[in-house]
Amino acid sequence: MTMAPAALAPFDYEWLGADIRGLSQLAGVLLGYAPSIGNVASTLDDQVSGMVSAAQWQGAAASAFTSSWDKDSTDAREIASMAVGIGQIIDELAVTLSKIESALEQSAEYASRHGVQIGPEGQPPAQSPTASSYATEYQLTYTGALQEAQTARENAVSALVKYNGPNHSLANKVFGTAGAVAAEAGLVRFGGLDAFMTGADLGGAAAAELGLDSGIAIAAGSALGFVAVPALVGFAGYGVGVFVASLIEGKSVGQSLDIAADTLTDPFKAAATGVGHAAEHLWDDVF
Amino acid sequence: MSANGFQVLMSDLLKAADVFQEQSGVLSRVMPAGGPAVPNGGGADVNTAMQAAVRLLGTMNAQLAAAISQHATRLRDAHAKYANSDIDVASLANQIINPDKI
Repeated sequence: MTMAPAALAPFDYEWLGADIRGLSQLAGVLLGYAPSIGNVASTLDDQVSGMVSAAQWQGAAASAFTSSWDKDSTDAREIASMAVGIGQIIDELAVTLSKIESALEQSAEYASRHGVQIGPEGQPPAQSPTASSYATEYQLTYTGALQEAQTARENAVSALVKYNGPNHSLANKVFGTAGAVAAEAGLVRFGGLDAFMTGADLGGAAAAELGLDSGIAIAAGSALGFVAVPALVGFAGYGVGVFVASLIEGKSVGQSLDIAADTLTDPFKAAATGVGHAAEHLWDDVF
Repeated sequence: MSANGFQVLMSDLLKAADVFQEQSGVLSRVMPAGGPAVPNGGGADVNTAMQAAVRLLGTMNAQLAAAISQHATRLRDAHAKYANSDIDVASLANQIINPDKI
């Protein structure tokens, strides 16, 4: 069942500085991801279940495959849950901001009817000793509304922390403990999620160092070796997109790392290439 | 077929590989690898937090799609190995029946 974003309070402007309808639409998009991801997981669950029961696929390879898919199936449902969680936070922010915006606009309309000049962004007139009680009251309302909106944003930021970066438990699970530790090192060193997620500016040196120190350990130590590698590549941000795109195109881990490495600066290029070749051999004995 | 502790219907392996490959494509189309676009929340902190969260979501979804594609590859590899085993067993049986042809 698709979840829908909650209805917004009526408003006409964007005096709080937020694209409230855009936030609500984003919430709807995120809430809509969950059933799509769930459908994929269910389809493949049924496929694997039918293969090992009706088709009677048995033996070490069957067990290895089933076990591996079970982990990914669980991850799929956790990613769906994560989409819902982020969507609900953004939905709540949109609804809260719409209520504040709506109340502020109604106050402005009331004050305006009593001669108070309202600015184009909802600002009250400059304070003066001769200001009417209506102007003073609107001044307080306006200041309070901005503060309430800021509090709503801060609450959203606090709630989103659990979905940001390697501290998120699912990220830990997918990237592997070593990957999360290395990612945290990157965060500490370069001070922010952007260092982890985009890393465009820090680029080569950080990734190379992490790659040489931790990358091969991440790849070798993770049960999801080829998933850990893009986590490492993620330190250089841009490379992860290239890497994932190459994987989706059907190229091997090693080929994908080579392609991604070609887009990066020299120190990281060497590390990424080395890790890719090491990781590729993780699959040698799968069957 | 059943030999050396494994049993499998070959056509089911290939069929499963196709389904995994198809569903990998479905999943990768569910959302962009960088996550959906984020509108202005009215503050730099909240914009950064939303952007980071949806980007992580997009990356993880893309990785899962890649993992599912890898499963398809592994199923095809398993099929190929089982097929080779069949050929080897058939060849051995033929040699036993017709030792003159060795």
